[in-house]
Amino acid sequence: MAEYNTQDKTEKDTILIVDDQEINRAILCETFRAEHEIVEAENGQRALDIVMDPDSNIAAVLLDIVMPVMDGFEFMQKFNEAGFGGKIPVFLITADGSDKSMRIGYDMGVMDIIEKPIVPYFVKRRVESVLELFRARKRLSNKVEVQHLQIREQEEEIFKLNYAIIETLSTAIELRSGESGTHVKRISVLTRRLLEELRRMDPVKYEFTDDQIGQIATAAIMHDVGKIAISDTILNKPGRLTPEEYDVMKMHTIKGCEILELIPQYKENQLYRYAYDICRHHHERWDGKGYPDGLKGDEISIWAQVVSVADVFDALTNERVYKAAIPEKEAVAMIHEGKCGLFNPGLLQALDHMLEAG
Amino acid sequence: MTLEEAGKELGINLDAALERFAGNEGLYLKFLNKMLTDPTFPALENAVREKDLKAVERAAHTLKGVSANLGLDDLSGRCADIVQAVRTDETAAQDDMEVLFGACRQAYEKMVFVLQKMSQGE
Repeated sequence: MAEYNTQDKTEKDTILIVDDQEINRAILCETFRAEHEIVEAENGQRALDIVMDPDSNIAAVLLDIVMPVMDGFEFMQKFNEAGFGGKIPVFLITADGSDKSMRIGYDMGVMDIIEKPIVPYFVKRRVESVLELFRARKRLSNKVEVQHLQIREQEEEIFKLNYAIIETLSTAIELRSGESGTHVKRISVLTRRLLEELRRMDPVKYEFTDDQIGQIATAAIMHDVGKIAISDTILNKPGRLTPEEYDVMKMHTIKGCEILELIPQYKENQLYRYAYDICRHHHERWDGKGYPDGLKGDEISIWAQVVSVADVFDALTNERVYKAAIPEKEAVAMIHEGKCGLFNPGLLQALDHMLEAG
Repeated sequence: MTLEEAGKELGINLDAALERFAGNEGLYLKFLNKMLTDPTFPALENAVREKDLKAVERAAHTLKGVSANLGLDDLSGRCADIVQAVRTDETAAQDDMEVLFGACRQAYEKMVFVLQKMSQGE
């Protein structure tokens, strides 16, 4: 567990004393200098300069009201405007104990109002108890920051775990139907690269965020989970499928969706909605002659189209029981010629670019 | 004249005053003696002569604070009277200024006299 450094306990706090009268500054200095570092300023302007200095690190301000150049109230106003209000405690030290001034002081955010002439013991106690309060707040907010970081790290872990589970299960299902174990990984990578290429080609039409592309690439892994509901004999039949057998086979799209719907997070998580779409529509065709819904052209979501092409491309370019691997160039030519389904021309262009880029 | 004797003459509560300086007698004496060269009283005198009530209030307020810090309660009290008068009713204050300032000057001059005796080691 990472330990974040809070203030070293032996380090002294620095107190800023602001008063135009040297004697007043001297008295306050005597009161605090045993246990604190002291910095002095003779008017509000000087005090402001000191507070604004990033190296100064002031823990508290003891502030007179009546001063030339810039008085206490004007200092408070500028101090607040610069964003220090609430971060550094300010104590008004004043001979003017009128109700009106006290109200103004408190309204401007001073922590406490101390009357002159001071009684050092009481001032010390009042200031130090507030300093302790601010120190405790700082420790707490540091702790909260540490915990936020830990939560983010844990979220990352959970995400990675989810991904690993999805990948493993999908791979297992694909293995059953004779696909290689790495097919699922390759589909994911191809999907990602195609989406990135589309975005490069037309960033307006294909306005994906990196997160979205990541989600779609993960969802693509599950495109054939429905195959688990298809009987072995059909799935692994060496010869041609009969029309009836083919109809059953086609059902893996819809079966996949049924399975996904069983997942509790399904409705809330965008990932699963992509997966549903891809599962259902990765066998549709550009000319509407695909299955199960016969969607045509742009009715098919671009991510389903992408997975569709990726699936065909991967099948062609890898070895199967019934065929050898076909070289990439040839596979692309076959796809262009419509020999393995009909695709969106823009998408095929993206495929070409992607392969050129290697 | 010792500090104790000076304190008695001027009605200073030395214990309280020294406590304010965290028991640092040297520092206290430094500032006590500084009163002899402090420009605030001359400024007050000037303001009174010029009938500048704002300046009178400022100077009296400052002098009140300084003297109170040193335990010079007499002087501090007379300054407080001036400040109070100006803040309550300017016209009345103007009328009474001679009396008010007179009392203040008396306390101030007594302080100067005693402090000079002390610093001259008499």
